[in-house]
Order: sequence, then structure tokens, then C-alpha cells
Amino acid sequence: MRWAVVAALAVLLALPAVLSSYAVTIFILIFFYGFLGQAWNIVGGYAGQLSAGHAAFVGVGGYTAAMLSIEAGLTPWVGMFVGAALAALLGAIIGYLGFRFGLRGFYFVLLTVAFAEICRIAVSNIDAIGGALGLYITFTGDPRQFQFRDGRVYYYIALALMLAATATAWAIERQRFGIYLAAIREDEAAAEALGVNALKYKMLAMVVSTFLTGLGGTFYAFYLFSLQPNTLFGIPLSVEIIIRPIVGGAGTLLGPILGSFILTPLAELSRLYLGQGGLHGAHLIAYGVLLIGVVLFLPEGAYPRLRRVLQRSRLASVSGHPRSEPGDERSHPAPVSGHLRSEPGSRPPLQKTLLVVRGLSKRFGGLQAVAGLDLAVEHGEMLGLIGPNGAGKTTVFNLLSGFLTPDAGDVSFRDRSLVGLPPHAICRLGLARTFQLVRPFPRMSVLENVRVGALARHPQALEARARARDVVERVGLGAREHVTAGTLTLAERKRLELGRALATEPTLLLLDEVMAGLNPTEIEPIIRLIRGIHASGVSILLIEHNMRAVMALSHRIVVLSFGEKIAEGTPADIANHPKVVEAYLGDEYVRAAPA
Amino acid sequence: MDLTLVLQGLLSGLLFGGVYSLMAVGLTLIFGVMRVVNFAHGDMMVWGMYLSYLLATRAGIDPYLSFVVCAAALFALGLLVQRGLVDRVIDAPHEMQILLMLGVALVLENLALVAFGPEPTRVRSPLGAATLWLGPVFVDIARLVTFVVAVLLTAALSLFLYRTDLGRTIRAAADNTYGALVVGIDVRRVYAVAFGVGAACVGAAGALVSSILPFQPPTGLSLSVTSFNIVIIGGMGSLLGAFIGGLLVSVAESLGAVFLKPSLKELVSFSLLIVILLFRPAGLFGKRTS
Amino acid sequence: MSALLRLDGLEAGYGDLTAVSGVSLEVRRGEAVALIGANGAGKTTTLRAISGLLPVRAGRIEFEGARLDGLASARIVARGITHVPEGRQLFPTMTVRDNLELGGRAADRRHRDDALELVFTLFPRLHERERQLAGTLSGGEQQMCAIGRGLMARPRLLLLDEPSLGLAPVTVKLIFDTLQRVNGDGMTMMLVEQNVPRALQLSHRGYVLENGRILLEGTRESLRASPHVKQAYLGL
Repeated sequence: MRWAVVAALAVLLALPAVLSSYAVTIFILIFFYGFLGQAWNIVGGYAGQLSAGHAAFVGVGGYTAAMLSIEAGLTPWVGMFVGAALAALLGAIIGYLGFRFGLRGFYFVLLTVAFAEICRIAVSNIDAIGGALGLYITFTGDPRQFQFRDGRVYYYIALALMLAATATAWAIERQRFGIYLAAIREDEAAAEALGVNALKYKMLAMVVSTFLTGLGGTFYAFYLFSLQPNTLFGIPLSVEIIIRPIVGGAGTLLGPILGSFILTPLAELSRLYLGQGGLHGAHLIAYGVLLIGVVLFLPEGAYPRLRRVLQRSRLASVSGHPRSEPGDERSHPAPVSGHLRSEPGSRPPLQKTLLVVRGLSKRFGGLQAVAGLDLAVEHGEMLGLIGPNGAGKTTVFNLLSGFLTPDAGDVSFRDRSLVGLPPHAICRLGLARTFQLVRPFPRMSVLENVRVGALARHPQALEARARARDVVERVGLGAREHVTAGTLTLAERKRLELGRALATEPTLLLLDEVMAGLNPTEIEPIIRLIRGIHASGVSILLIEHNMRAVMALSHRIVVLSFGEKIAEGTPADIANHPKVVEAYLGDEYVRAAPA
Repeated sequence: MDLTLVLQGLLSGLLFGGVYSLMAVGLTLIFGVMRVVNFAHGDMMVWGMYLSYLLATRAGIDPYLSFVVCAAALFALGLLVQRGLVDRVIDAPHEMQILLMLGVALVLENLALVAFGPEPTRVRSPLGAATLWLGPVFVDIARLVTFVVAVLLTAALSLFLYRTDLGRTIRAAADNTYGALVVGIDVRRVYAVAFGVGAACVGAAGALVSSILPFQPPTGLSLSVTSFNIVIIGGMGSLLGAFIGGLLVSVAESLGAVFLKPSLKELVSFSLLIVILLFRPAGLFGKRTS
Repeated sequence: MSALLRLDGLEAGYGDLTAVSGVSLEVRRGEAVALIGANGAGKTTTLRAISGLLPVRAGRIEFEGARLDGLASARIVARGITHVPEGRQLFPTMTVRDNLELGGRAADRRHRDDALELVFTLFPRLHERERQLAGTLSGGEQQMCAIGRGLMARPRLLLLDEPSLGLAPVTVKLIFDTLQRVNGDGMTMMLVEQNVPRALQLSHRGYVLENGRILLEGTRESLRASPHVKQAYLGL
């Protein structure tokens, strides 16, 4: 793969020597739209936030540099960065508004479109910057003014831009930033539970993306010598920006580039042959059809499909499992270790009582889901939380882990109040959780899934990976390390869920119905695994319906019914506690003699 | 501040609002039933306009009569789009649905461009330039008739939804899709009908404005965005919200043109949209969507 | 006695998860049969498969001698089986009356008023709240409405999924007394219940599911006496 890239690069560098000036123009467009597409890809593909108003950032960047050049004589080589910075600032504002107010999917798209349109209308009406007619840049051919007589210079600049954006995306991909973005895209809530501050990373992606896009604006302005608000801020440009990465493969490194190589010549050819006689919309019809086709048949885009085809043909000649990470680092030797805690002394000593819950209450409309709950988890304990369906157990977990805010009461973890803290902060304090309906990141491998958790304590991607391998071995998935999580069996997914939470090196682990859906042969090993995790020093609070498991694992048990605690004690106390039997089976079974 | 101008703006806005309402009602119906956002809504309306143009110029049919044909034609288109395309992605992530409808929008807009060219068109109004004077303000007869017909159509749709069995079935599917399945409703059929009716609304709306508003293929985009504005402001899935929202947005735009430069009128609705998106994405009448 | 409904080796699930496997049971005309078991045992999955709300992966479902598996849910309702789902699944912004009328089969328009009459007689409370929006009813009233909606189609088999869920004991008694009455009038039923005593009080026979398979089968008396039931629930 690497050789193919180097070879392609060499070809591209040499091409201008043999191409006609018209062909050079086409390549300039390919590189330029590839650049814009890659910039968009960072927030639209990697972070999964569909922004349909990215043209606005091109406009802001271009207009800024142009105005600074025209009015203040500032060289665009500097103006470019001012424009980009301004674009990034606006991007941060819009991003913050969207993400902070929880706008997803369609609403976020609409926000970005509205923003772009507001910019367009505003700029059209400010005569000082050209109004509806726009700005014109006088051609001087002066390189210091970012103007060149030879089209080939633009070729190399556009190529450099595309490579720069791709290098940025590549760097992001390999670091925690990129891994976190992928996790957010797959399942934001699950990512939050693993210590990922979704807001921060989405914002960061937006800022990087819009900064780069802003740079593109300057290129656009000084390549075409004219800026018009309708063209530069308009939706058609936004469409051009997003269609290439989507067709090529959003969230992949080469997708935007492939997309541009496919679509740009197509657009140009149709403009050339059909543009006469008013058929200049024809290439857009092709865009529309392609978009529909991609959504229906190739939702991941062309590049991932291509890669799979290539991998399959390569596998035929090479043995070994498919690696989901091309160009993997050498694997670190992975001793099976029971030590999942960070080095001693790196954390304050643990108190006797880890978690204290007092008067916890939560109401949903007319339903009091949790009513005045008191409970405590001691250091080193395994506490079971049981109760019939609808008793409020998962609500309690959501309250403890920050996914819900209590109406009343307090949750204190290692003498620190958790109320009001977001899930990622709670995770970092040492309280991790699993979900009742397991939520693996479906397109990541087992190892990559666990790595997301490990990154909470080990920000370096390589080290996180090494730690993750330990954990993967620990939970018994060593042989399935590189398997895509979406294809795992249920029992394996449960192990993965455990491993992921474990990788965040928690002090207290909340397990939500781990046994649900497992058959008896699968339950025993999981019980042993949980015991092992506990033995390594992790305290556990578990919700379970499987009585056998709860009785076997718990030191103490708390019983909930209709949101209230009705009993508390050792397994032996609980098994024959009349209130408990009544809650589950009704009073008839209470009267029956215990087996 | 000239009060007459303000009153005039209010009145014009209100009258044009009838069409906005009809347009928005169609969009909100589709969303309410299927949770799909029809990004091609405005482009479908433009096709309604061009269709009425064809019928007027080739067959001499008055748009105030041909709107029925336009509605029927768009109903068929909606059915086709739903059955052929939307149905396949009904369970896919929302981003995929958005992109699909964007693709449809691109195809529709540019087919119109290829077929009819980029120049703005307008249907010669059979009602001419007749105006009615009400004291200091005047009313375009054409706009008045458009308003009346639009409101009647919206009322008819309302009757359909609230007084017929099929209408009730559609409302049930919108209220609780799983519940609809449980009681044996053919939900796929309901989806197709809802999409078709939603498209028919803009088909009719398009015909009704074809003599008042000059139009060209790119008009579709701004109409789509306006529809979204209205539906979000009024509440996604709420028919009453769409109706009132349509009037509100039209009046706001009209007054905006009075106080600000006419080219800034869209600024008002976009700004309003952002405010509503941030603070109440459920809109004025909508329920909180999950 | 002929079997009205027969399941043979039913297998169904969600995604990669097989929730029920090899389930065989039957319901005879006029019976009330209980399907009990702990949470996650596969009871709801079984009912959903019968109603066509979930695809059948293997096995057969026969109703009145004809194959049911593979049919769309609308067809199954037309054949005479209605489903009162877990969590009621009413239409919250529509009136009680609308909810009930929507339960009726399209072909049965003429009988709609008769069916409505029957439901109102069984549940006078619904008659009082006829024009109220279903979302504003209390839990018990919603359950009555859901059952009433199921009865509107005049089914030959009524499936009920956890009718007692989330309801206060006195309401549960009311619901089950009504169900008793309906069964007494000849309605064949199968119900899924976590509330074992209530379920057995109503039913003649029952099946105990554990982890997607039938653990135990028997009459009301034999199940009441069986220590396996307590074991299955409390893991003792």
C-alpha cells in the first residue's frame, strides 16, 4: 500500500511537465476539491457531524484575505491564515451552539445551512465588501500577492494543500483525537461512559476542519480573481464540498481524494460537452443520481468497498487474519497480568466506603422511578442490586454514572459529589459502567474498542493499545482481538463490554445485567471473570436478574421494588426474605416452604 | 414609520402565508408519519409550478383549475419516491436519509434546469393585475384567491385526516408506529400515502403561486429551507403548528422587507430558525422528539 | 380437543441473539395458557413471533390448521389473532374511542358498534373516558384500553404480554377478573406474565420458559406445586 501511495505521488509531481494547460486546470480542481473535501471529512466523516454549510467558511477565509489585500495591502500569504483563523472562530461558535444544545442529525444540518445562508445574505448586503456584485482582484501576476502567471504553480499549491489536509487527517487518525472521534461517531453515549468528552472533541474537529476550509477560501479567491457571495457562500458549493468525500468514503483517509478523482472530471466533462445550450445542470443530475446510488448500495463510499476487494484478493495469497489497522505498529509482548491498576502511589489511598448514596430520587412525569434511595458500597465489596422489572435499577445506574440528573439526593464517590458531573468526568474519577443492552462500537475491532477505554488513562495511542491488549487477554478475547465487534456473539460482546470498562481502570465498576441473554454454559465463565476482576482490586456494584449469579457473587444485596429499597442484607438473608419473595412471585410463594 | 406600509406588509404577508402553510403542512405530514425529512420538498413544489406553466401555455388551463392536476401528478411522484427509494432507508441512520433526499433534490432541480432552462418564468395570471382597495391598503386579487384556495385545501386535508378512516390510520401510524403494526395496520402503505399526500400539497401550492411568484429551478432550494424553517418553528409533526407557522413566517418575512432591505428578509426567518433550533427544537406546538 | 394454535420448534431472535430456540407448545380452543419465566427468558419474543412482529427463523406456527409463520402482521390480525403488547402501545394523542376503533379490523365495519358495546360493558371506566386522550389515562386504564383494543377485532385468539406490568395490585385484580370473564365467554388466550400467581389463577395450563427454551409444562395445579418454578425465578 505504501509503495502505491509513493508511486502515485511521484506521478502527480511529474505530471505538469507533460500535461496540457487545460488538463492542468482539471487537476487543480481535483486537488482543490479534494482538499476541501478532506477538510470537511475531519468533522463530517471522522466526527460524523453532517455539516451542509461548509461553503461559509470558504467564503469567510476568501473574503478576509481578499479584503486585507485590497484595503490594507496585506500579502495573501499572511492574509490566508488570518482568514483561516476567522473561519475557525466562526466554526467554533457554530459548533459550540450546535453541540452544546444537543443538535443532532437533521437539526444540525439545518443549523449549518441557516448559518451559511445568513452569511451569504449578510455579505451580499454589505456594500463595503462588494455587496451582491462581489469583489474583484486585479491581476498582477506578483507571487508575493499569491498570483502566478504559470498555472502549474497553482497546481503544486493545490496539491500541497490536499496533501497537507490529508496529512492532518492522517495524524488525527493515529492519535487519541481521531480514535475518540471514531468512538463518538459510532456511539456517543458509550464513548462518554468511557471518559470521552464528546463536546470538546467535536468542537476540536470543527475548529480544525473550518480552519483548513478557510485556507481554501484564499486559494479560491486568488485563483479565480473574483468572489461572489452567492457562489462562495452558497449551497451549491457546500454540495460540491461534501459530495466527494461521501461518494469516496466519509471517515476514511483516501475517500475524499478518490471521490474527487471520480467526480471532478465527471463534472468537467459534462460541463464541457453538455454545457452548451443551457444544459449546464447535467453534471448535477449525475451528482444526484450518484448520491442516491451511494446511499442505497454503497453507504460507506467507494474507497472502503475497494479496500475490501483488494484485501480479499491479497488474503488469497497471504495467510493470517485481516487487520483492521493498515500499517500496524509492532505488537508489544503482552503478559497476562492481573494488574490492571496503575502504579501504586499514583492515586490517593482509598477510603473504606467508596460510594455513598443518600436520598436519591428521580421522577419521570407521573412516575416516581427512584424514591429516596440510600445505599453504600464499601471498598473491596461486591454489592448486588436486584428487584422485579421496572423497579428502577437501571435508572439508579444512570443517575450514578451521570446520564441522568437526580431530582433530589446526593451521590458521593470517594468523598466527592458526583451530582451534575457529565459521564466522562465520572469515568475519569474512577467509576465505570457497562450497559444493559451492550453497545460495542460496531465497526471497530475488539482491540480498538478496548483501546478507547484505555485512552482514558494512557493518552498515547501506542501505550493505550498495549494496555488494551492486556485487558483483551484478561477478558478472554485474546484470540478474537482483531475481529470486528459487530460480528461477535452475544457472550463475546458481554466480555468486550466488560473489557472496555475495565480498561478505564476503575475503582468501582457498575455492571448492568451482564448475564441477560446468556445460556447456563456461558454464565459460569462470566461469573469467574467477574470474580477475577474483583480480586484484582475493583469494587463492583451489579444489577442482575439471574439469581444464581447474584447469590454467587454478592457479599451484600439491596432489593428495590417500585423505586424503593425494600430489603438489604447478605444473600442468605435475602433469599428467604418474605418481602423479596412477595415482590417477585406474590404472596403465595411466600407461604410455600422454602426448598 | 409609515403605518400604511406596515399594514400593507402585514396583509401581503398574511395572504402569501396561505401557500407557505400548505407547503409546510405537506412537509410536516411526511415527517410526522415517517420521521423522514423531505429535502426535496421545495424542488417538488417547483415542479408543481412548471407543470402548471405547461398546462397554462400548452393547454390553456388556468392555474386556479390546474392545481388539481398538479396535486395528482405530484402525489404520484411522491408515491414513487417513497416506494422506490425512501422505503429502503427507513431504518437507516438519519444521515443516510438526508443524503438520499438531497440526491433526489439535486436530480429534480437539475432536470427542471435541463428541461426548462435557467431563466425565471411566471404564468400569466388569469386574474390579471386586478387589485382591491381596502382603505389605505390594497389586495392583489390573485393573491387573495391563492390564499383562499390554499386555506381551503389545508382545511380539506385536515378533514381527511380527522374524519376519514384512512386519515385516522395515518394519524395512528404517526402517533405510534409499533402500535400501528400491532393492530394490523399496513404501515408501508400508510407511509406511501403520507408521502404522496405531502407531495400533493406542494404540487397544489406550486400551481397556486405560479402566477404570483417568478420561479426558476434554484427556487426549489430556498423553498425547501423556508419549509424547514416553518415546520421547525411550528413544531415538527404538528399540523396546526405548520399552518400557524406558515402565516407567521410569511408575515415576518414581509415585515422584514418593510423595515429592512427586501434582500434581507430571509435573514429574519433564518435568525428566527436558529433561535428556535437552539432553545426549542420541538417548535411552538411540537412534542419533544427523542 | 383440537389445538387452535401450535408452535413447533420455534426459533426467533434479534440480530445475532437467538432469544428462543426449539419452542413447541399448543393452545386449545377455549383455554387460557400462561407463558411464564424470568426476565429475558424469551416470552415476549415468542408472542411477537406469533403475531408476525418478529421474523421466524426456524420452526412452524400453525393457527386453525394453517401456517402462520412468514405472514405480515396485518394478515395475522386478519386471520383472527390480536396482540395486546407489553407496555400497551396505545396511540397517546388519540381518544380512547379512536384507539378502540383502530383495533377493529377493516372488514368488520358493521360490527364495530357491537364490538364497542362489548368493550364498554367489560370496562365501564373506558366508556366514561371515551373522549379522553389515551396518553392521559392512568396505567390501569391504559391497560384496559389496550385489552379493549385487542378485543375490538373479535379475535379467536388473544395474546397478552405482561398485562400486570407496572400496575398496583388492586388494578391487577380488576384486570384479571375481567380477563377471567372474557375467557369464560369463550375467548382463547395466551398470556405472558411475570406475576406467576395471577397468571396461574387465570390459566388452565402453563409453560415455563428459561433462556429461550421450555423448561417445564403442566396444569395449573402441577405448576403451583412445582419447586422448579421458584427455582427458575429465584435461582435457588
